[in-house]
Amino acid sequence: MEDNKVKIHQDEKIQVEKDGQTIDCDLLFSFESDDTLKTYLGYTDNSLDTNGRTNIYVSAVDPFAGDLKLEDITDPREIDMIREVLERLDQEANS
Amino acid sequence: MEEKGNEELDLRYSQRKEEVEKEIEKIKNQIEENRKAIKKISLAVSNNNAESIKLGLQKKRILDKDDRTDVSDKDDQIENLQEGNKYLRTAKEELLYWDRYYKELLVNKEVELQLIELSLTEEGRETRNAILKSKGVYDIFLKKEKARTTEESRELFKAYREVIKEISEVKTKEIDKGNKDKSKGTMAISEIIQILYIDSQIKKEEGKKQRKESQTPAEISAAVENANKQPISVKTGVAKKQDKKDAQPAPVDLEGAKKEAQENIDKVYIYYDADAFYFIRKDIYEKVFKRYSNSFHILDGVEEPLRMLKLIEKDELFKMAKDGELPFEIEVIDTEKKGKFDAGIRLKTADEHKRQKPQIEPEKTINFEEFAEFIKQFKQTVDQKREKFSSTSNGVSSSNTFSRNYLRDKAREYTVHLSNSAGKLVGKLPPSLQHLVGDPIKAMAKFDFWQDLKTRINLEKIHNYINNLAIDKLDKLLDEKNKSSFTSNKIVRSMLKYSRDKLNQIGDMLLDMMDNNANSEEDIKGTIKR
Repeated sequence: MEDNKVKIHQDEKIQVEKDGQTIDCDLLFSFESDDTLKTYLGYTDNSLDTNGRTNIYVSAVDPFAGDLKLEDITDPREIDMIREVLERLDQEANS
Repeated sequence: MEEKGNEELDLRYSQRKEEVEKEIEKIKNQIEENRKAIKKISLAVSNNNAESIKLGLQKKRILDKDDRTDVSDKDDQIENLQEGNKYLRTAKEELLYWDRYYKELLVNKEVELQLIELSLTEEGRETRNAILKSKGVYDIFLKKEKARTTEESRELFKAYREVIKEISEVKTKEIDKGNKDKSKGTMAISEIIQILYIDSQIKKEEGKKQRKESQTPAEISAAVENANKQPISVKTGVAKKQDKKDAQPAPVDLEGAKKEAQENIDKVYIYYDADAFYFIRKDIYEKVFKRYSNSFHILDGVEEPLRMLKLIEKDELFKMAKDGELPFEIEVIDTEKKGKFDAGIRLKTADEHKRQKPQIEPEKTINFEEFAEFIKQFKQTVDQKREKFSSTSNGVSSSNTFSRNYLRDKAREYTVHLSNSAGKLVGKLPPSLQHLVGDPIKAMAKFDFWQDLKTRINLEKIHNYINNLAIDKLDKLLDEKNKSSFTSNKIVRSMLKYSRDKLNQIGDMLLDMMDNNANSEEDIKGTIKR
């Protein structure tokens, strides 16, 4: 299986419409998976969860769907893949 | 004689006035009924969406526990709900058409009523006298076929009122000059009356025709009512996997519709999006989808208005399928169960589709087949890629810029949300995500399989197909629509123009590829980006 190159985005913003509201978010990283043929986006609205940790959202965009809908990631295989990406990033952050 | 004529006209206008008032009342009631039905459908769609979200959350909770519980029934339920929504949206679109139609009709009736009321005033009577005196004036205006749109009717009515007002003022101030000015009014009024008569006849005929072809709003309301009563797919979406076959979304079975459906089911249109072919019954296409620029959004959710490929006899299609001439399988959907909104047949899903590629006889349907093959390969490749996807080795690599710039400096601790982030990307996207905007065919260039796919298709034949068949077809439709001045055709025209431009773009793109002898993936990507 081919590697999926993670692209890091610096100072790039995206706008997400959710529940009728438009939220400005920082785009953190993205990568295309040749396995799922989807693009994955990691972004944050810089909000904090109840434990004071920054919320980071990861969503999939299916380019073949013809719109720019952010899909939940619910497939366990996709979850594993995202987890690995994040773990790598986390390891590198602490190295 | 003049008095007698006036009395007759008074009586006729009074009778007509009563009729028009009743018609207006009826139309208003109908508009209100439509509004309620539309609201009801919107609510049902919203409920379905809420149910889908709920199921999604339930599924997430199960997955979070990581106990390997089979969650496929949740997927099925969500799929059923979304399928139900498709049908509800189709019904809504139909109701919206009727809403527009009745509103337009209402304006015309109100104009007619006001004209009658004005004709019954003293000024109106005098004008009528002048009309009676102007022999042959009706004959002249009988030949004029204009003012078919509501907008023009409104304009004429405005002009008419001004003339009446003018006559009234002239009469008060300069009685002696009255006859001269009245003759001016006579011309305008007689013209308006005639035009409105023609207009009303046109509307009447159209109304009859459309009623005959289509369901009435009351029938649709009843259908929606029925749909809402169905526990599967509309409200609860609790169909289990083994019941999926029977879990028909939002059945819209209507008395009367069945007969019409049988009469009109012999032809289908075929259209496509990036993932699949769709078939749409000719009468449904003509009746509903052809009218709106956003028609196909309802069915495939793709931001492309019209992707009609070919009109084909259904029997021929079945024969082709039976003879193995189609590169995919089709199945007949029970139209009695699904009602008249359904196309009657559909393409089998990738999971169902396991057969080998059949031999194609090029001289029969060469263009269509080639294009079908292209789409089929595209779809299959996507399906295969996704099926192949496994959790065992994802081989993700990354640079460490992200960590330095964000995680370490800004958010050493973070919580990742994978399944409550659904939304939509709006606004201007950064350049790095621009490839996501636009046609799926552009997005396709991002993936490696494009090159493999390209080598297996004949670009020239696809281009010929687009040029010779699809664009010609659209041109003919455009010509037809250009001849008509009915308001809704403006929308159809813009839709057709858009589609034609889109096809031209694809055609040009393919030509570029051929001209540039694009052999490498980069070449193709470059061409597409251009």
